[in-house]
Amino acid sequence: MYNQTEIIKDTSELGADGELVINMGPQHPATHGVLHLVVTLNGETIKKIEPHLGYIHRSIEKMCESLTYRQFIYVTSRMDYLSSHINNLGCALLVEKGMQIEVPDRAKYVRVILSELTRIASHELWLGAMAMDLGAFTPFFYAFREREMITDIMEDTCGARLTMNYIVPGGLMYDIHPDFQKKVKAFITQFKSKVTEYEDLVTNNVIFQSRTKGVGILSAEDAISYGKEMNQSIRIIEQLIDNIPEGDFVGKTKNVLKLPKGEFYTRVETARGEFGVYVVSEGGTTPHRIKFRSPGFSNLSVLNHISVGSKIGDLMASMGTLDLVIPDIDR
Amino acid sequence: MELKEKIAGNEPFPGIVHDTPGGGIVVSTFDSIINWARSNSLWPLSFATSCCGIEMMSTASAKYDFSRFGFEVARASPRQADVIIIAGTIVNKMAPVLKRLYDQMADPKYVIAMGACAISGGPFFYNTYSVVKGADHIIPVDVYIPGCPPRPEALLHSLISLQEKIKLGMTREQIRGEFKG
Amino acid sequence: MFSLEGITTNVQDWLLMKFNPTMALAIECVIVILLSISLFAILGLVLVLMERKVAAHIQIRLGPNRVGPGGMFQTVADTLKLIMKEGLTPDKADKFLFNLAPFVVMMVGMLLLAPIAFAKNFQIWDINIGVLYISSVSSLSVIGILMAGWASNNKYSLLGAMRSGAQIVSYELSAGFAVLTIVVLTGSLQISEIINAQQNGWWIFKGHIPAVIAFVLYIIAVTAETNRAPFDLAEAESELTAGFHTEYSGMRFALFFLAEYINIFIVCAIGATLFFGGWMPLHIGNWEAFNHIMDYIPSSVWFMGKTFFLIFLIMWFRWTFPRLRVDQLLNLEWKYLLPIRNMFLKEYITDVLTGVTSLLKGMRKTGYYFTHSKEIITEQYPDNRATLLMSDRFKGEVVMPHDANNEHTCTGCTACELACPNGTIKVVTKFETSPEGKKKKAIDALVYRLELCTMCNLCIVACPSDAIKMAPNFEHSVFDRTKLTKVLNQPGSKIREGIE
Repeated sequence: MYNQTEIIKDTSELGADGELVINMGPQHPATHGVLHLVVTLNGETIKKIEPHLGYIHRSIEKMCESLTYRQFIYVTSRMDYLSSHINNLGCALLVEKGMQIEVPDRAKYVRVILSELTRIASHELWLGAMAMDLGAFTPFFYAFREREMITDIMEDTCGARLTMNYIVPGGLMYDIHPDFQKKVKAFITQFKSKVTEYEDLVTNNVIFQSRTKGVGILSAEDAISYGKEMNQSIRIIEQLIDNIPEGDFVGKTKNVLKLPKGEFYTRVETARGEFGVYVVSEGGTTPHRIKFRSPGFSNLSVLNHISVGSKIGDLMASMGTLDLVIPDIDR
Repeated sequence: MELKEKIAGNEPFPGIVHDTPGGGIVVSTFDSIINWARSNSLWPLSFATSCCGIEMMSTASAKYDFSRFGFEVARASPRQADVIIIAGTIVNKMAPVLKRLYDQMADPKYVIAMGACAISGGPFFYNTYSVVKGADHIIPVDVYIPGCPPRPEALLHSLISLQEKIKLGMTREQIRGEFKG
Repeated sequence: MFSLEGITTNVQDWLLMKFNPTMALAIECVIVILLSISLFAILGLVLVLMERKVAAHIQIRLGPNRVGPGGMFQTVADTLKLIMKEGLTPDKADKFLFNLAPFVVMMVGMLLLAPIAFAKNFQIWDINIGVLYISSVSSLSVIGILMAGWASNNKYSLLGAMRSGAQIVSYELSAGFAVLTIVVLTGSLQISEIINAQQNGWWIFKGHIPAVIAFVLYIIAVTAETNRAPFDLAEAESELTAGFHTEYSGMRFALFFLAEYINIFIVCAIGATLFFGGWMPLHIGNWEAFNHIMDYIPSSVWFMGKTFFLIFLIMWFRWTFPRLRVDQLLNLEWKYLLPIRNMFLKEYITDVLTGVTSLLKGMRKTGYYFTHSKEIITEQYPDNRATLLMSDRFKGEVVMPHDANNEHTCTGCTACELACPNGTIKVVTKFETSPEGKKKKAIDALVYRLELCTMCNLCIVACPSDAIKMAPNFEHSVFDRTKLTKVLNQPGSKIREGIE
């Protein structure tokens, strides 16, 4: 009826002890995009993971070399699109640092609030996606209910829901929406009342706990720290929201921005980790060389380390906690 | 509905429209029933490469809820999906994968290019060496929805447009009479 | 009142009157086959729709509501589409087994229908070893799944099928134990006997603690046996894409899809029969009046009501819990459902209690949302176009405002073109000769390529004369890419006086 050699034709795919090599991705629901993992399995147990990158390599760094210092900020929104605002902030800070531009207090306050809101939105998405990776679909919808409030705030003020491009060197592109403070406060109240819901459904659930505990040394800590980070973000926003000073929203800048000759580096903390911008300037209107230190790339490198010896299901849990954004890794 | 009129109002469409052979009342009624079923049961492939994928998730979320149209059965396996929503940039390395995914899907299949990147390369149109300047260089696209990323309502709009297109028999396969069930 | 009770006997009497017994049996077989196939079709449609609606209401959204009144025909459309869809067979698959597998799974479901009592005296085959028959036949479905997984020649399918095998074989044990409890209480394996024994009280009430524990065991075990979340490891969408049916498409996939729901129906029907008395109405002690009223409700309604209650319970599980890992799944079976490991009783009880409490908390939350439809936050997009609350600042496309005299304020200075990071805007200029004979630069066309535009707003900021602005339109879907290249200045428009 069937011929065994015909079915498993390519014996090279089988490892030494009947190991099974499977390709996860580039199209796989748990890789959050187009990450390609070559997983060597022994039964259900993972023996080796080899991430393959480049399926969304858009040559952003090269591209930035031909964009002016005003223009290159918008591309960074498309890298780690979940913390696009923070990426923009990092780039704007670099230009301000290089050119010693004075940023008004009002702009600083709004930048911080929006960054923290972005961080919360990112973590909300993480929560939903993580639960989805572990097989629970419902928390995603509850998390997105709160996330939608944030995107509404973003849309009101920045004019876009995800890739804002609201920060310009020297301040903000335009002033905040008149309803901004009101809406942020409404969000904080709603968020605080719903945190217990996430705990009931996700973090305190016995299945969720047993799926995440002991899966990689990093993941259990991560899971807790995300929760803490959201609460911290809320506290930061609470402190700032009532105290946004009046005044200009953008500082005085020249029309054409030119970074002096030299090397510059700034870093910001995005929702996933440290995001660094390194620019070599020749004194022109465009960077000579630009390099982004993206958090996702570093986070991915631990994947093999934490996953060897665990089950396929654990791999989803680890990848969920690493909260990978693939364009951030590939750039 | 305004949209329906707009599409029915003979907007020029690329390609030549052939009369389907056979015809007749019975066939056309049968065809319209099938088109009704197909248009109301578009199962998307859960496929996203970048930012637009997040807006696709938002469209699935409770506020926009594309399950109202029956789109919520997102299949991870291309064999079972009907529509591939290209949500994000397609780079040179991804292009063969996208082609393969499309080939793996069972007929009839539809493609929506979501966002500037999928339509034309968008933000990465100039000065990059690795981005495909439009997914329609690789696979045929039925509906284009610009935006960077398009908001969830815009994605819904494109899905409704696709529905209308199927109901009117204007998709690639229907025009060529290739796949009649 | 309409009731199914007498129908079977009437039909049989009539057939025996008209034909000889062999012929009558043959005709009965045909009737039964037709009825069960149509029952399957209807059940598939109803259960899938029910699942999607239950999921939607738990997830604070509306669910299918466009196709037919209240979304009634959604699953009809899905089924029609699946029937008409191309059925692919992978090149290197084992074609015979690949094509056979979905039918094996379906046939198991059909076989299991035989001993189920749908109403009083409405049963296909009241076999005297009914419970044994169910236990043995239900474990056959794993053969179909293994077949599908192996024949697909896909590694994900194989992994899914192997998981499913391990799972069904293990959980068969605790399901068997749970069923045995009722057999011991009744003293018979026959379904009709089991139902009759519950005339004065269902086993779940009458059987005290053993029956309750057996029921909990049963519902966990059958959730696992039907490959439902939290035990849906065989499909495990986020891990194995679609598990054992990854390579299936079209009608054969529909059969798997259907078989899942048929299996749920069957295990819930059996659960209702064993623990809730099947078609037996609710009788409380010697409350004659109450019992009498209960007897008025047709027995088929009782049966369906109980079955659908259990189905709802299983759906509720699915939309609340995360999936278990494969080793945890087996631990749960062998260490908790069948506590045969060396474990202190105290530890066992605390483990179970904390686990169950946390699960119940989650279920309370989802149950709250299911019952409170005011929490639904869905905005129905194409209907709310008129009232859609959009921010004025939303960046949908670049437009050039023209006043009543068809005049704009664009000088053609190309500041926007220079500011644009990706060449979205192209300014085509021409030289106009003014009446005084002076040559003046003006725009011929401001070409705007919406397909490229990233709504970064840099052109708007750069424009010195506020000639262009962002408009909150977002309905730009087109069938033709060239439609997305626009000329922003209207034909015949000219620059407003006094703008330099």
